[in-house]
Amino acid sequence: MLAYIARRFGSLLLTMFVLSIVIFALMHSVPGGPFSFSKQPLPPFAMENINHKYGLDKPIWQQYLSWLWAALHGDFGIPFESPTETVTSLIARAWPITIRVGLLTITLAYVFGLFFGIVAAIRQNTWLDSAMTFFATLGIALPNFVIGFLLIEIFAVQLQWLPTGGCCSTKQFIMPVIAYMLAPMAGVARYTRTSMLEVMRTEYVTMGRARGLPEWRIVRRYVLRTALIPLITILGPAIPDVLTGSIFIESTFALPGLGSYFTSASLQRDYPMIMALVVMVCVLWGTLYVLSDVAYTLVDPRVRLEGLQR
Amino acid sequence: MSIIAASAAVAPRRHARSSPWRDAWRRYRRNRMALIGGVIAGLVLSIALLAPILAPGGYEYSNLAETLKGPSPQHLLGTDAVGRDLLSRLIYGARTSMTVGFLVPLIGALIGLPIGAAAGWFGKAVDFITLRLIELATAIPAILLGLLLIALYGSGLFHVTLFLGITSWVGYARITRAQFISLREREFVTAARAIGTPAWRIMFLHILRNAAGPIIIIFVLGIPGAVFGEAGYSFLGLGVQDPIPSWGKMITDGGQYLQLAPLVALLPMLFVGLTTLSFSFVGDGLRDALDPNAQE
Repeated sequence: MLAYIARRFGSLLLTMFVLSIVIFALMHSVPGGPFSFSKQPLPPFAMENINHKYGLDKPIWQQYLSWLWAALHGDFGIPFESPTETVTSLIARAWPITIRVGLLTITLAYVFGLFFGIVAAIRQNTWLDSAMTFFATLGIALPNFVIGFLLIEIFAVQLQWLPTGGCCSTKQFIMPVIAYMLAPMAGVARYTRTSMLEVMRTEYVTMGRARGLPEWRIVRRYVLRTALIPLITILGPAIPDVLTGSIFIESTFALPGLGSYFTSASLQRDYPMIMALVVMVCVLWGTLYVLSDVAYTLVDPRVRLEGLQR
Repeated sequence: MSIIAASAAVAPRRHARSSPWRDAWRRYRRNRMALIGGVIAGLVLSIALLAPILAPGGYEYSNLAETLKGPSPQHLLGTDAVGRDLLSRLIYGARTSMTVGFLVPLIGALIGLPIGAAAGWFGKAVDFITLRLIELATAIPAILLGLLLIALYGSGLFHVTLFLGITSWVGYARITRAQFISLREREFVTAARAIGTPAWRIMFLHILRNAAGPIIIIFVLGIPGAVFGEAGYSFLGLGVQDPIPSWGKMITDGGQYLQLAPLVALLPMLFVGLTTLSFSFVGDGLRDALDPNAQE
């Protein structure tokens, strides 16, 4: 098992390495740069000076190697858009807000999603089930910024119960979390329902029924245990998505989280910031992916990992 | 005599009725939400196609003397912040959304299909490289990559469509690869090979045809995704640029006037919502209808 995990992380490192080259090359593939004349009309010698300071006058491969060397030592450089701090400190400042919203979102989405999914499966083909299916599709299909704006219109503009946005009181978190959690919640609910219905058709459940076990016991002990395992696989990749921040949600509710930096860093061609964000997303995604695969085998002994010898 | 003739005429029809596509249509028809979704999706599509006929005025004509006016006989749904007719902009906005909505999955399919087909058919090294490519592409969220590309190469309808398209190939490659792997060893492929059918013919006529179901589903479910993506980028001010109307941009622009004139933002929201929702229902309906293992 350990060898397997090591191999997966090795492959992840390789992916990250290639990805960082691709993104680095991509950023430099377009003429101009973070300090081009159109953005900052400075005299040529000042421009030269700035470019020299950030090493932008060197050949690209050299820039990449020095970035890589520094990044391996935990130094992601200085963000061009906010030169008084480091990339690391900027992320450390903005990320906690995103994490707070993200963790609340994931937790609530799972709790409610599971609940609705289980109810829909138990009451299959009743009005409860169709209502759940309808709202699940609604939650998945409606863009979260549309839901966000609707919430603002209702609860902030019309009823004036909640502030339209900002950070960081509890009241200011309510609407972003609701707008953000509907899609994952709907996904979880749908997944739970399908998965439960599949298990409920198996022979051992029929067997349990035949033996006269009470329905709630069948559901709790036989159906749920098996049915909820696949949910681990969608939890893994969902976490980095949420933790890196929905750009739209943070923009709708004026949350000073990480999401806005994805936009501004891209627009400003803030090379160090973009690289750091890309690496961060990739590490998160990769780690959770591996972990969810491992968790899967631990929970479900029937699953064998590809390439894992026993 | 006439009875025999009649039954003879009926027989082939009954045979045609049980073709997989007809079965799919029968299953689809039973799904009420998918039917309603189909009607709305069709409506949005016809609005987009007929925009110049349906729109009461030009989408770019602005009258600064009449900004944020409510509904009136001249402007049935009122005007926006620079005095443009809201109804016309909504109607032309359908055109933008549908252009993106259909082109993005098409671009994705054009890239992803050949890659997935090659990986599934040739296997070995080709498959290995494809799998690494897929891994690389999933390591960074498409929305972020698109954002970066837009920031570097510029915004606008063309770029947004292109970038959303080229970042959406993974789904097609994955499903096509899986289909090719499962179909390539089937008897009908072996038979075709035995009679000397060229490989490209087997790939595109025999296998792709049988893999059409899942690919169509991915395509249709890609439409709301693309509409969402365009609206999202435009919402951030990085998508379609003025004066071309985009629902996403109308939401951001109108969002500042929620208190003064809520319709300006609420109507485009309604349109985005209805469009993504209806295409999702169509996609879900198709999934249940085309999937032979569909659960009743």
